[in-house]
Amino acid sequence: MNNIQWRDVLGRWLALAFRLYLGGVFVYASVYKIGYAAEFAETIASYQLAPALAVNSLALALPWLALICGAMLVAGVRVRTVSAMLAALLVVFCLAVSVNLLRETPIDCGCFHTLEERMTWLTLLRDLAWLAMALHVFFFDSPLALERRYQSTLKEIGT
Amino acid sequence: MYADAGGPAPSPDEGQALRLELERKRLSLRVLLETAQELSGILQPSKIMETFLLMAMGPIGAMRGVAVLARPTVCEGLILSRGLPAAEAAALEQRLPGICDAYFSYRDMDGVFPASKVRVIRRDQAGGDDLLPRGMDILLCFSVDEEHCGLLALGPLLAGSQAQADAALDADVSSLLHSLLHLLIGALRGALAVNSIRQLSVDLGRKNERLTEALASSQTAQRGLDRRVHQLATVGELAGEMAHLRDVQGILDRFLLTMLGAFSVGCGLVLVLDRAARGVDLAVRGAPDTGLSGFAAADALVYKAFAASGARSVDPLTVAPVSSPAISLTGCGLAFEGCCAMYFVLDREVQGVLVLGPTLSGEALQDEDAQMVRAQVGTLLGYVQGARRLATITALNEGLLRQNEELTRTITELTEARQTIALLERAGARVRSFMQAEGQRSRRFSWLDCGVILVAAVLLGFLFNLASPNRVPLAPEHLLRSPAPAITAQKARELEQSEGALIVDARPQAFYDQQRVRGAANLTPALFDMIYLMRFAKVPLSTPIIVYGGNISRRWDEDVAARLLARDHERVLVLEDGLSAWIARGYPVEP
Repeated sequence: MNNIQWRDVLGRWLALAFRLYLGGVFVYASVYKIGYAAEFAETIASYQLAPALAVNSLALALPWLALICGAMLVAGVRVRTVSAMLAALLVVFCLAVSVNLLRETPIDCGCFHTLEERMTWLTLLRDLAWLAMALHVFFFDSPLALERRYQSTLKEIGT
Repeated sequence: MYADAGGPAPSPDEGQALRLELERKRLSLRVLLETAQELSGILQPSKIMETFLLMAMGPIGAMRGVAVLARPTVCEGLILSRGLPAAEAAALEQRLPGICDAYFSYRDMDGVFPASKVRVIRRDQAGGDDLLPRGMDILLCFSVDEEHCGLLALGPLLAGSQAQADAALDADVSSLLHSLLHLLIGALRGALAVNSIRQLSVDLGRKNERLTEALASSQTAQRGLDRRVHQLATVGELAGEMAHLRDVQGILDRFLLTMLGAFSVGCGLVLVLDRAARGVDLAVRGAPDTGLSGFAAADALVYKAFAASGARSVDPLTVAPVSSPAISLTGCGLAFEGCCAMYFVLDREVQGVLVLGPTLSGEALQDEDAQMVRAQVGTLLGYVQGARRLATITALNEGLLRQNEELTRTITELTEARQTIALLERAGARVRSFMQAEGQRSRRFSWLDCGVILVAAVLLGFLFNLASPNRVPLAPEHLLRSPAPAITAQKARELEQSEGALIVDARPQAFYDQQRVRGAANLTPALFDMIYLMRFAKVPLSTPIIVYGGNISRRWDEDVAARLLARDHERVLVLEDGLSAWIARGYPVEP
């Protein structure tokens, strides 16, 4: 395989894989939180970073934001914007995890379920990996995007 | 009676002579009377001549006699003879032309022969001795009328009379002969007049018969002329009516009805067969339709009519009479006996036949009627052809009209399609530009999209929370109620040591397990009811309880203090600044 092919594989097709994986992770993580907003609010509160007035609001909005962004990422709609938003979320998560790791706060990360393994530095590494994937998706165009389908259709009808 | 009454008396000789004279005169008168009596009532001239000849020969004393009655202008007549041998009498009858030329030629010289003129001709004066038998001493010619002449020949006279030959024709005999001739002439005139009248009557009768026949023939001719006038008038009306008809069927119906009325025919049919279109136009009157409206039966009828007509070609607009239609058209499905039929041709594909049944009077149609029918069929052809051409023109016009409508509709649709295409092109351009803009937007980061997604997430989250049974309040509960009394770490330590106050850690168990005030009990809001029943149900309500465990995100200490107060504990206090203030004072913690 020549450089162009490698660049294509490592760029576009890897971006597609990251896009599908990252979108699926966020959709999966959001579903439980939407159904159990009170537990997710306790998780947010356990981070001891958000003011008390904003905890419940964040517990209501964040799962839907993750669901919308994950679905759009999988579908390939507004990929760059969505990947940027997910990257921003992941930066916030990484900071929150880092702070609480430094505080040695005995809490769970709350990424998927309330009762799971304790938050560790691996949790931070995982979030950093996801952040890298989001950045990769942001910088590389991926195939099988729904919005690209419109442009392909325009090319097919000769416009 | 002839003596002069005033004269001297006659002598005895004179008296004898006078008596003889008187006797002759009386005899003459008797002869005249008898002759008149004999001739009266006889109407045939020959009979008159024959009777007269007998009556005249006796008084005159002639042994033979010949009487001739002739029409000199035409040399006709009759010859009667008495006392002649049969052969001579027969030969005499053959000499009539010669007798006419010999004895009646004076008529030519005189021009007009005077009526009742008697001429005495002596034998030696006559030019025709060889014509008459010998011995005819007395010849008398007379005229009966302007056409008839007569000849009387007598002789030879008897001996007594021969002595008087020279004096035979004296005054008395002459007078007697003249009187007899006048009687004869009168009788002949009467007979001829009667015969003329009779002939005139016969002629009149014949003429009357001729006139009657002529009248009858004229009446027949008049009836024929009347019928012809009626036919012509009817046909004229037919022409006027058919001029307004537009369809072939209507023309055939009207034509057949007029033909039946014009020729007094009880039933008939007229049929037009179109072989190209396999169509039949049929009009029947006075008889049921026996299936001739079908193409096969109509074709058979037309073919038989063609064969019987003697036509050898199908030239357009020809009409041919069908000979013996009653025989030739048998078996063609006719419901009546055809008495007159015409085969006609419109063109090679369109032919027809007209069949007329018997007349109402039972008489056969005359040749003139057949000719009239033929002429009218020729007229019919013109109207039928005109109607067919009109139908063709109408169909063409309708086709053109339909095509025109379709063309107009097509033009309208094309115009609309052009407008639609233009509209679609504009819409397509807009969609294309929109999609291109969207494509460009999908390739770059958009703050607008971020805002839209955030707003959508917030709206969905809050709306879902409103409908969810596990809804959470937007604001923390401790902000909605009055805070519990607070106590500093120092006073809390004093209260624990002096009054044995209970210290409650309201944080989750993980925080409690990590570090806590020594001797503190873990009572979280999530498990408050269960733990309270297990460990705090028997605590006196007057025992002071100090609660800690708040942070920036959640005030668990306020929540637990509120619930303990709700359980009627009298002294529930919240540790200010929580565990950090306690540790800062150096008070004991565990582990």
